[in-house]
Amino acid sequence: MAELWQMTASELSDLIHSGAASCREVADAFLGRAEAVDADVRAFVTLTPEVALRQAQIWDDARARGDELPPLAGIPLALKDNFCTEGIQTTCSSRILGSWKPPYDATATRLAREAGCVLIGKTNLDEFAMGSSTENSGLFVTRNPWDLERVPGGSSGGSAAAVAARMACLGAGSDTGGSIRQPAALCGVVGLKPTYGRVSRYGLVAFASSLDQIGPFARTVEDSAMLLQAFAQHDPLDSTSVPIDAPDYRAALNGDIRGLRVGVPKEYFADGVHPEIKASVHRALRVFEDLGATVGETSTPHADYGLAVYYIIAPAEASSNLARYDGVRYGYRDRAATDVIGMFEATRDAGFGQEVKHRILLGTYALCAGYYDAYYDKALRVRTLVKQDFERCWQDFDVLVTPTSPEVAFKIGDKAGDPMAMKLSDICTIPVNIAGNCAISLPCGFQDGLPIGLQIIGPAFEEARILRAAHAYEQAAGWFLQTAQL
Amino acid sequence: MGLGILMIEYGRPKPARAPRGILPQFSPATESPHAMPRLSLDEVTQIALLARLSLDDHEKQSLTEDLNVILEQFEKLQELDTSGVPPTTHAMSLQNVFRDDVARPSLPREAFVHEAPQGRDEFFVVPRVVEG
Repeated sequence: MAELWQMTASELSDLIHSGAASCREVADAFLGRAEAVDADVRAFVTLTPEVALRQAQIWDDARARGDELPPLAGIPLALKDNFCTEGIQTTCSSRILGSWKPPYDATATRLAREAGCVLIGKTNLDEFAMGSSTENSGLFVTRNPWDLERVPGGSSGGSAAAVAARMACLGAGSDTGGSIRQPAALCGVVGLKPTYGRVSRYGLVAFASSLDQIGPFARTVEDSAMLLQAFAQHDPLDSTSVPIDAPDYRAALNGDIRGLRVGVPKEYFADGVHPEIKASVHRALRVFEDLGATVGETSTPHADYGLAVYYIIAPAEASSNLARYDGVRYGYRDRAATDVIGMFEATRDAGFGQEVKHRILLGTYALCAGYYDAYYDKALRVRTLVKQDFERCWQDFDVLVTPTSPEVAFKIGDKAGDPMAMKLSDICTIPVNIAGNCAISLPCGFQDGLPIGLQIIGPAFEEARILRAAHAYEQAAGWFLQTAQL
Repeated sequence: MGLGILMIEYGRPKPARAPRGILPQFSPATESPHAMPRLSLDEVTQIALLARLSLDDHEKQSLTEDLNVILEQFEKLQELDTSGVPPTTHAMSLQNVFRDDVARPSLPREAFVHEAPQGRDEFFVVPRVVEG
């Protein structure tokens, strides 16, 4: 029999519900795995064994009493360290938060706990989720479980690596321009960015509020559906959370995609995308055809403008959101200054890393009177054009299929010093955030032993549709059976 | 933080107008209608002041270079005619989400003050702001 830490959430759920394994045994197995391999991978900022064992005990006691268990009872979960967790240090991988412990839980934290998940730990990220490799963490660099010399992607690189290395069964991250899907692709796991508004952002430390969205990491599409189910609830505490009931996502995974109209937007196969990745995606498209889907080429002519739109809107919003870190309310304060303005400046100078300062300056500039029209207002108008591209596609197609990332995991340090190189990593994922669609990334092959990700994009609130398409492909292709050897 | 004035204007339709008040005054480095201005070291210093970042000379220099590389990418947007295109501020057009105006319990102030770098009772403590 496989080790408990090798199993999927749906397999563990069956064992736990039938009594064949206790939640304590499952928690011990994953904590042991983390102890064995996290010294190499460094996915976690904080491991929470006491919390995990306490939560596991609650469900084991409930089972002993004969209570009905929630679907994810006892399933080990890793949360990105920008989810507020009551009484548990939440760093955003930034020195400016110090050892700040939130006095409350994010709604997503609470929903995962209520669904039964057991918290294994908080995972590393690019500082305040700004980056695509987790190298911008203000704390340390996380490594890709498939090759420890390479990045796990980012910004949710810690959660992706934790799931890929089986230190957690499920993970959660946030995706502003690709921060769930790109690391999922680079780490060979499944990552889903729900529609903007599907999952409450309350208690998620804000980066770019009109783009941020919370979503699951998992080893399989079915497991992703299970965690999304827990997250997808209306929350009055987030006014952008939509009051639409979520369908039964797991029930949607019936394997039947006959007649599904798959669009392939040609702009996502430009020269910047590695030929081996294009070939893998085309092989995947043939699998879709074999399963009864129809595949046709389409076009999203404004996709090329997505990167520029994103790098105006996201920093503009971030410059406002990050104004709150001034040494008054959160963790770190520089104590040398004697006047209040000097204290703000010295705290922010020492507390923020280079990339964060970079984006705060960029955003402040873009919002300045005199340049507001040329940058910010222009970006909002082009955002409309990007959105309209997708709306035209939905008239002819049910889903769109693209690569998730233009390249596989790169070597640590390879993109240092070139301010645009890292940003190009997100060219295939950014337009989805700009338009507010949902999308999932799942493995579709390997290049030199490194995983390649396939992105399936759906219209707003069609998570069930992209999950069904992803599940049908996943089961037919079987890439999910391959695991990183550590 | 000094950004409040900028954000009040968020989302309103705006005629082009001259910079004013405390905001930095930039002048385009070129007369071409499509070319974006280049940021100088002085301008980065001014923006850093607005953003309450005290940068050392080395940081200012490298940030200025990096920002100009990125601003160059933004020029691409000027290729598009967006005169008849409305701006999108949010992907979902939810508007005016209200709840009933009912008082609800909130967390005790001490819970937040306790986590601050310096607090006393229900208050955050900061260096003296007003001389006296």
